[in-house]
Amino acid sequence: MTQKKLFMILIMALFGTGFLFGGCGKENSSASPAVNGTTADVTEASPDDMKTQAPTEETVQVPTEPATEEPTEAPTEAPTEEPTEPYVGAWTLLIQEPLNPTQSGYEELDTLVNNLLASLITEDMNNYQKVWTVYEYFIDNITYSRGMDAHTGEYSSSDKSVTPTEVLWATDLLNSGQGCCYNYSAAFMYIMRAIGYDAHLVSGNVPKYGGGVTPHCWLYVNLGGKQYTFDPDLDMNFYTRDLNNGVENPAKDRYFCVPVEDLSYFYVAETYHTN
Amino acid sequence: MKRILTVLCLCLVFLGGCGKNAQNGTDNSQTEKGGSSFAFSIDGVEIEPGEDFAGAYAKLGEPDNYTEAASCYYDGMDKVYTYDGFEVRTYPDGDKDIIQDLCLSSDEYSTDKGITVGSSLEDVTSAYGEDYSLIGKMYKYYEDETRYIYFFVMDDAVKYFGYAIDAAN
Repeated sequence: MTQKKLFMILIMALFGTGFLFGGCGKENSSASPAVNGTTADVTEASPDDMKTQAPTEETVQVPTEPATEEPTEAPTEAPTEEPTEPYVGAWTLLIQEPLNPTQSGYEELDTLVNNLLASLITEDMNNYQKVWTVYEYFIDNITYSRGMDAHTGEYSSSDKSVTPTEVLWATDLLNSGQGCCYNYSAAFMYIMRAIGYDAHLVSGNVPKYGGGVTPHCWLYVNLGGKQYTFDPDLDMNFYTRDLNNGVENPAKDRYFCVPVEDLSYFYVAETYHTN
Repeated sequence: MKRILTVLCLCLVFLGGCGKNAQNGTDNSQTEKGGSSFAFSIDGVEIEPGEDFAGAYAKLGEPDNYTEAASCYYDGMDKVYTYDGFEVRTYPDGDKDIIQDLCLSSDEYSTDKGITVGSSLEDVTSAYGEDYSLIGKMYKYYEDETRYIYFFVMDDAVKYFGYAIDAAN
């Protein structure tokens, strides 16, 4: 082999190595942020980054784009067994959080909440499974009815004059099995508190289909010192749309235990409810 | 000839009477449509969940109260038209307002099986059976996968009843 040939082989080897490392680096940086509950990488991703990332099969996604458009990719189903990385976030957060069960103090609501939990929760469930079971129950069984917003407290026997609106929203849903975002989120919040989590209701605006914004209500839960969004109404919305569009195994957990800061491009909070 | 004309007239009167009964039944009642009994007639105006509300609205006239809000689910406005003793809730579908729920809250109206506001739970189950789905105090009797008659029973008395579809889910 001549010196010239050896020199050419060396040059080609250097170019090849350069492409190889360049490609790996790019893949690593784009694959990490779309992870539900794994906070370290997610917090570094900008909303724009999140919009363009394709979810992998292992991930349970945070939304990859604002809900102004119908989802275009088949999402994954939330696991019922302990998932492998990177889904461990939500699972671990909900299991490790110390519980402090509280009741609303309003007899009708507390009875409804406790009865529902008794009917859905079994002793062999861990805390993640308890939360997910109730969340999925909401998505599968509660009928969306915006009209309920015009009848706050009318599906309740509680005295409307002395009962907080949030309690009435929750009571109306649990009594009637129907409601809109205010009812979904308020009811789920009181259920989370009854299980033992520190849950809070938020209302404000979100992007709506076809442009603009629309009033909306959701909740966040303090887990491990950070706030995580839960939105059963919106997950019902996306899940049903996917189902109607023929998507196989649509996700029910786009807005299940997602770090609040990851959704700051989507949710605009106006009121942090105190009840 | 006179006999023939008399017979023809009697037939026309008879057929006319039948037609009126079949179309309206009682003024406020469940009616038959397309082989299924799901439309509800109020003062001769048929209201059927899943159908465009525009035609019924034109006949019913202005509601006593009207509210609308941007839909959590659909592209457009969810609307609530409240009349004396009943309410129509719609969801948007393009430029149409589709009836999702006809909710009745007066004993002036009753189902074709005689259930009305104030009926007991036993009245309901005697009339419609035990094959209901129950969430909280809401008893639903499904006609098919999406359409159902419901009874909201509080303190053993029907407070609301109605005809609805699971439009979103």
